Amino acid sequence: MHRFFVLIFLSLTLFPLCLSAQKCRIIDADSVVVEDKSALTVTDYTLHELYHYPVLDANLSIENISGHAITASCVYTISRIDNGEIQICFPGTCEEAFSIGTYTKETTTILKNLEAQLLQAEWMPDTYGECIVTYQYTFIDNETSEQESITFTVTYSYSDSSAILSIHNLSCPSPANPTIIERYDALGRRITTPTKGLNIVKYSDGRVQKIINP
Amino acid sequence: MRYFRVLMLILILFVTGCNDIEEGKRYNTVDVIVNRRVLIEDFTGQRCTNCPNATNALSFISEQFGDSNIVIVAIHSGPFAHEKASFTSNRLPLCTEEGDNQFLRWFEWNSSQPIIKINRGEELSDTAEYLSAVANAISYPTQFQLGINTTYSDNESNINVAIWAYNSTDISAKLEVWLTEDSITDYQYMPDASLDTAYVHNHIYRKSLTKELTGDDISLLAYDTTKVSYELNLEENWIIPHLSIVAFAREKSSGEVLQVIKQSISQLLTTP
Repeated sequence: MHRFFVLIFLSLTLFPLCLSAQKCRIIDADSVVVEDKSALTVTDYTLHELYHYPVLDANLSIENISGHAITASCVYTISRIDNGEIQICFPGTCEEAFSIGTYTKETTTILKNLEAQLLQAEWMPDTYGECIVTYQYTFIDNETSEQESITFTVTYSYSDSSAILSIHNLSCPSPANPTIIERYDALGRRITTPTKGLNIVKYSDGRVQKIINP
Repeated sequence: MRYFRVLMLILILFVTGCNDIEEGKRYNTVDVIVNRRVLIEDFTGQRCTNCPNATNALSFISEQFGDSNIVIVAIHSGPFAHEKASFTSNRLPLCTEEGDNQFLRWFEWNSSQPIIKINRGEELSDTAEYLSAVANAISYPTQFQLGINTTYSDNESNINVAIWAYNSTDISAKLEVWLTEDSITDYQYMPDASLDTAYVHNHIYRKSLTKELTGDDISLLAYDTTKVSYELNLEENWIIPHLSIVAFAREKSSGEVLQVIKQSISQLLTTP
């Protein structure tokens, strides 16, 4: 009986501590987690559905897995931008940046537990070129005040070898919607699970994306 | 041993007994005395995915303080009211050149949106700060009074607007009179980044009846009433029952809004 109570006590007290190990995670359209200090490359583009200019987007979302509400903030550094503009609409407000520099978003967003939101961080080039942005997202647990940051760098590269994915539908994949309906390997054979190398993924919203699995 | 079990039970209840109440469901009470009406200029854009959040926050504030006490004007302007920030000439349907001039009067072109100005004073980007700022502005006393009388007959191509201003002390002020339009169905990018092609836009800035940006000078003697009149030719694309006149006076040197008033044209139309 004594052991039973001790077990319950320890599980109830230690479980929240386990949950607090990670506050948030950044995930791509396939729910693959973007690790801290990782580097991503975006080469494919979509055409804006209304205005028809190219848009390069890593299609990333932020997901709160802290067990509590968290407050998210963002600082981003543009280390190279050959042309065009970076647009970023999370957290809080939308803003655009045209030149090299470090920018702090003035607003924050509160994410409820298990809530996910698109980062909406895109490069909209005017012509071929490259843009490199390092994003740092900081999360503060509203319950415990614990703080955590994730930093990653995205290299957007727009060239004559860039492939058009589709007409840009800003309603890009989020963790819940839409879903992957078909997947093909580099030879065009239908596959049921991700394989090493180039995979072509078709989503329920009609979008098609190339993914290279290491 | 019995004491140990009791202690364990108390500790378990202590650990599990805390009930998280989400922030949106917590009740916040604010005691506010309404001493004036408040002008809120919402610098917004159809390409701005976060702007509907500001619209919703302002609608909530309007409900809390009363529609007649909160005068909202949605000024489609700035980078997110254009196809692309660098395409300064490619305005989206609800954006006007006058609106852009208003935006550039206060902000750099690459400023974030949405952003609001309350009574031409405080600038806010964070929707969580709106309520307390409006509560503060609405409780600030003023002696300045405005009256409005718009005349319009069905099928006429123009409207006449008469504004009365009154103050208990001598004052030199600026008067601005604007036309706004409600219930415009047009597209809007939403917070989940989706495109809503049937979004209903309200309080849309259409045109200034007074001198653009600067307004018109009015000088008031203490306890005296000053009247000014304007005439406006209606454009074909405006839906007359959805139009309103917004008039506000601001202090000449500080620019602080002294009083604001709104009259809907639909109130003047003859009912069949």
